[in-house]
Amino acid sequence: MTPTADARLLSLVSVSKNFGGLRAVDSFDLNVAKGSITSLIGPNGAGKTTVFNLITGIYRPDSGSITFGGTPLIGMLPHQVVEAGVARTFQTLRLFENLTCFENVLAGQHCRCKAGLVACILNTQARRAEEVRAHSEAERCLRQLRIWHLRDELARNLSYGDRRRLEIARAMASGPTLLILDEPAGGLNERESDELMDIIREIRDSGITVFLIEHDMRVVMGISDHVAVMEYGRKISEGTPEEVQKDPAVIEAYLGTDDEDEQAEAQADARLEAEAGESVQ
Amino acid sequence: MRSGVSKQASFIRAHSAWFIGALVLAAAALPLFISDYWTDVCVFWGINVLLGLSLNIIVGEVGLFNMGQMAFFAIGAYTTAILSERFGVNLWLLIPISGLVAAGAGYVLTGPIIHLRGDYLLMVTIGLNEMIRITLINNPFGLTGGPNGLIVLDQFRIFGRVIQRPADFYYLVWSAVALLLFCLGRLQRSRVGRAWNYVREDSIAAEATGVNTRWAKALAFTLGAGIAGAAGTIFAAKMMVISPDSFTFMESVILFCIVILGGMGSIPGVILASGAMMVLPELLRNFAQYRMLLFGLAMVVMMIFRPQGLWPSRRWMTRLKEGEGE
Repeated sequence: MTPTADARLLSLVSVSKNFGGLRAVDSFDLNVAKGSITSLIGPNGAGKTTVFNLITGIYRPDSGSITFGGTPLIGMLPHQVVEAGVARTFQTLRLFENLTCFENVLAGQHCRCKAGLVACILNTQARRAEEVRAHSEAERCLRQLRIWHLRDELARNLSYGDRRRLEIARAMASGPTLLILDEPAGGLNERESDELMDIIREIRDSGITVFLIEHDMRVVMGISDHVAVMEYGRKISEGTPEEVQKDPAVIEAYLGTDDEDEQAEAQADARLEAEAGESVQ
Repeated sequence: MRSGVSKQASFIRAHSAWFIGALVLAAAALPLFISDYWTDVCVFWGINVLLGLSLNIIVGEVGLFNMGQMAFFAIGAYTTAILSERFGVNLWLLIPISGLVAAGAGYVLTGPIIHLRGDYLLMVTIGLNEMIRITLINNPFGLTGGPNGLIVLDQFRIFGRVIQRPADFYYLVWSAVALLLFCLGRLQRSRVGRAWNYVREDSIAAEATGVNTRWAKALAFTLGAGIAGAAGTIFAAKMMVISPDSFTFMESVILFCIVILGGMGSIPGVILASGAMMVLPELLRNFAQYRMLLFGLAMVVMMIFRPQGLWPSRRWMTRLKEGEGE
């Protein structure tokens, strides 16, 4: 499972993005190896989520190139990026709140089906066949994320941890080759993030490459094959978890400033909140 | 709680054919028992249901705030009047033709504005409604007859029989409603209907999950405009005289309220709410002056006590069997 340079699935070459005068991403290079779990870490505001938004077509980079399995992604609309095989989740959960979990997950299968207006009204054989396929795929994803029993619940009624899982299930349902997770363990308690790590490994072992942003170092160091570190829009370090942990530049970015304390505090707060939320339920 | 709901639901499902059959029979027999006057009220109720359902696709299913739906209804009605009077096109043929013209107009006119959100789109559609109405008043190329409007002398004929009595129109309109209900019911439970709901719930998430949101919005707008246009043909044939007065902004507002009042995205809600909007004012004729007052009051009361609408739409369930969950 060690990544090699030849097996790169996603590569970003000197990608830059400015917001007004702010250089959010600055000549950023990164390769995500096929079959790996790659993590992107860095202090708040380092530009990690912007990188995700550039890959998934929500923003368009000012310069540089992004290729996925040899195809350039720049200029594609977000739904075309999904169709090409890159699925994502959001840091701030964006579920379809008033729909059931099953319907939420079916959304992932939308781009894998073709039935148009007329086919849907006439309920053609082809439409019925693809509907059956989409349903079984949605079932598989819900089971994989261990939330099959919640399928008929409205998304808004789910607990925080289950909402995180539902988002991953929805992304998985599009049958991606690359799964991009924006802080999947954010707000989860220790037991929940342990389960999440198992699920992410399972996903990787099923042949899907995982690329994630995460603040929880226990998760990052526990599951990553490869870690890249960002600060002020630039990549400051890269390597295996052990290498990155020893890198003086990373230690300075993380430990040398007050950032780390703030972050630890924020994380502790989030955890307390999650636990409080759970005890209420 | 779940088992109670599912028992009730499964009872209705198991006997749904009977329910629908009884309802259809009752509706078919209705004109035999009521006066022509009330039959006419039911005809306009039916036309309002067609319009309400067309707007429900745009507002209810996709969440695009459109307060100018009457513009497309007007385009359909005027297309019918012009083609029928000048070129003698058969009215039956004019139903799809008017639908297509209105759908085309919907596609072209909303192309540039479809990405607008919430109240911005609302304002532009209000403007659209007024633009169409004022254009009709200005009688471009002598086509629309200005403020006096146009007359439609042709009548629907079926098996040599002329559709002219209120009861004839009653059957025509409600058959159209039944056909539309069948199609929309299928759409709601399909890939297209789900895509619309995803866009309504969170358009960015929908796009990032692989739904072409622009396609979904444009399809809904085009289809909604087309249905309103086709309804315009029936309206023109029924009224025999159409004028810009029938397509005011106020009518669009009432349609919008029908969708909100019934429950966004709820088909039975639209039927119920448009019935309330049509039939209740007739019952309250003596209070005609206070109609708008009562109407406003009803809206306020609804928003406070039942914001989800009279008959909120139900989500489709996987029909969880007892003890099947893990």
